[in-house]
Amino acid sequence: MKKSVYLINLPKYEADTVPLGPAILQTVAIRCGYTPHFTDLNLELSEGKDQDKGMYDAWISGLGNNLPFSTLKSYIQLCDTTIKQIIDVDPEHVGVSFFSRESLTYGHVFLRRLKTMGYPGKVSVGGPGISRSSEESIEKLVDDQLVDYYVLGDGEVAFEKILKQELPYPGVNNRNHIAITDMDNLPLPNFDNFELDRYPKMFNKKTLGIEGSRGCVRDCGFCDIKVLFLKYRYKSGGRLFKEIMHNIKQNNVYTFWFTDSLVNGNQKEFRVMLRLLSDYNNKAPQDKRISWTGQYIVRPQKQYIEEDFKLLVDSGCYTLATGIESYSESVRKQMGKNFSNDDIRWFFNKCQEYNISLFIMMVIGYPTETQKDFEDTLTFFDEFEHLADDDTISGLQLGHTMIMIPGTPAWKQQDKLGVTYEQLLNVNKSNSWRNANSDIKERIKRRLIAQKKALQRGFGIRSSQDHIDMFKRWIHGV
Amino acid sequence: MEFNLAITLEHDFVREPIRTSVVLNDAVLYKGKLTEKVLEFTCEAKNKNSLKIFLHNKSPNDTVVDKQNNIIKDTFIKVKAIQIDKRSLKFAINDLGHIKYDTGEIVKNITYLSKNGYYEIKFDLPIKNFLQRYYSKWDKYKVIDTEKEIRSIDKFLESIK
Repeated sequence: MKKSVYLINLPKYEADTVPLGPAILQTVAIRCGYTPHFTDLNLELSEGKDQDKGMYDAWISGLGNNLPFSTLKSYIQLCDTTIKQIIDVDPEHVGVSFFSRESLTYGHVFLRRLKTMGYPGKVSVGGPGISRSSEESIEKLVDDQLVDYYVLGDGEVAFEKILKQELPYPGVNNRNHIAITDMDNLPLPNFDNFELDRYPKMFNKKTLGIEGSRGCVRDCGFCDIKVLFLKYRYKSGGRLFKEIMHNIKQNNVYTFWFTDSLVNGNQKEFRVMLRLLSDYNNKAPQDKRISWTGQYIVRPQKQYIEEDFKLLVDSGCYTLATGIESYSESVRKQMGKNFSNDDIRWFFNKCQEYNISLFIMMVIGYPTETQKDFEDTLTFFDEFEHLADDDTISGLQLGHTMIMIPGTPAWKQQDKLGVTYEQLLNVNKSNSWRNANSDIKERIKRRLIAQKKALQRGFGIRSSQDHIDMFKRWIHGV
Repeated sequence: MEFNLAITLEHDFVREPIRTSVVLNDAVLYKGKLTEKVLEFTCEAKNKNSLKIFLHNKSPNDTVVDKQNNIIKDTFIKVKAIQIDKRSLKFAINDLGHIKYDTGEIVKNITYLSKNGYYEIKFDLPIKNFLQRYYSKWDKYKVIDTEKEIRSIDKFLESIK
């Protein structure tokens, strides 16, 4: 057995960019004296989904454990091919990254095949999909002897401790994980085994993920980021600039996708980074200028200085993805979003003035959303039609409707919100909730009415057909 | 039918204030000294339109350079933004605009008038349709057949009544 590590990135999530976690773990492995190898099963599977209707449906609909047979068959073939490669490499350790909750199904299949095909080494699993999973489902992986180690929470130090066998460590095979607070000393990513050309590009340029922070400064009712990351932590502006320069030098990539829940959680460090990037861009030739995109929170107008918008442009910001969630101020307040409709108007006008494009995310059917609140949200599409026309609002996402994710503030307030659950065929429990304001049918109805209004006003939104197919399956069981 | 036009200009001068004209189709919307940053008009709409912004009075001495030939002060007009009925033409002012100098020289894809001549952009109205055509080449999320999508939504909504 060679002193090597084989890293696997599991399906399924939108393969928008190169996975960052495995790239950081490659650096950890090298530091520990291991040679890293890597296969991205998410990329392999996502590339094939357009030719496989069953796979495509599974991809977009969040079927969870109910993988259709054709999808399962294709996926098992892919797993077997990859596991043969792993056995040829003969690594001491296989590390499996679960990015999303839905990775659990795919992970089970992969790990069972890995065991069946006779891989003799150690196996560890980690990533947000593991941290978000129930205790029972993780314990089952251990009980079934599919894994030797599971990691909850931040993986960098934990993976190092596993490889060096310096255990026990908080979060490794226990639920006592701790948040890494010194983000500046996290390892720089290593993309050596990644086929960067195969990943989606932004602005037709090779794009890398970059992480500026973990967690969020807010605690929005529908969101489980706080559960996942425990508390908000961030890299300094200087460290982020250093990381970007490292990526440019190592990979000749100038376009970046911030994987953070929000890039501007710490305004001070965000401005430091923007100033450094702006200085760089102002001196760089056109083809060497940095561009970036990321998720961003709208703040109250008084928290901005005029320079903020110039810095965004000069630093290479192209699109900001921002969660407006609802155009009802009362719903937004109940969610924990602390900005007014006037703040939104002001911010949008500034983005139009500075040619910054916005990708808007909304949640339809928050538990406190009444019919009147929903109608207020519909006025968003009338009021900002002109910004959709001129591409200031370049895209819109309405999501699957409100999901009651365990651990979120809304979930914790279920009793107060009068939430109960229906037993519905084809619908996950987290989608099947109801209260006085809505049930699944009402939320689907509102979601599609919103889509229709957005289409009528010219907003850039993904085709509704995928969602209609999924909603039909949901409704079938109602 | 009328439409609202707002033009944002960056400008400076060396010797004397800039004299400009703003011409929409054959109608002079403004002629005189350029003192404002934003010029706003309510205009008569035609299906096809040509907007021209002129720089009239620059002389060869109106560009001041240092010993290294770096420009330290200039007489110029730069078209920063054009808004029609609140819609910004954004990148289209570069992509679809050009400058024609009095010398006959034409330069595409710039908005900086550094010699006497004019900046011109042509656009159709309604501006919503014009911009949709312009951005349809860019946006991966734009639905191509909106009517079909809406029919599909209506059909589904009807089925769950």
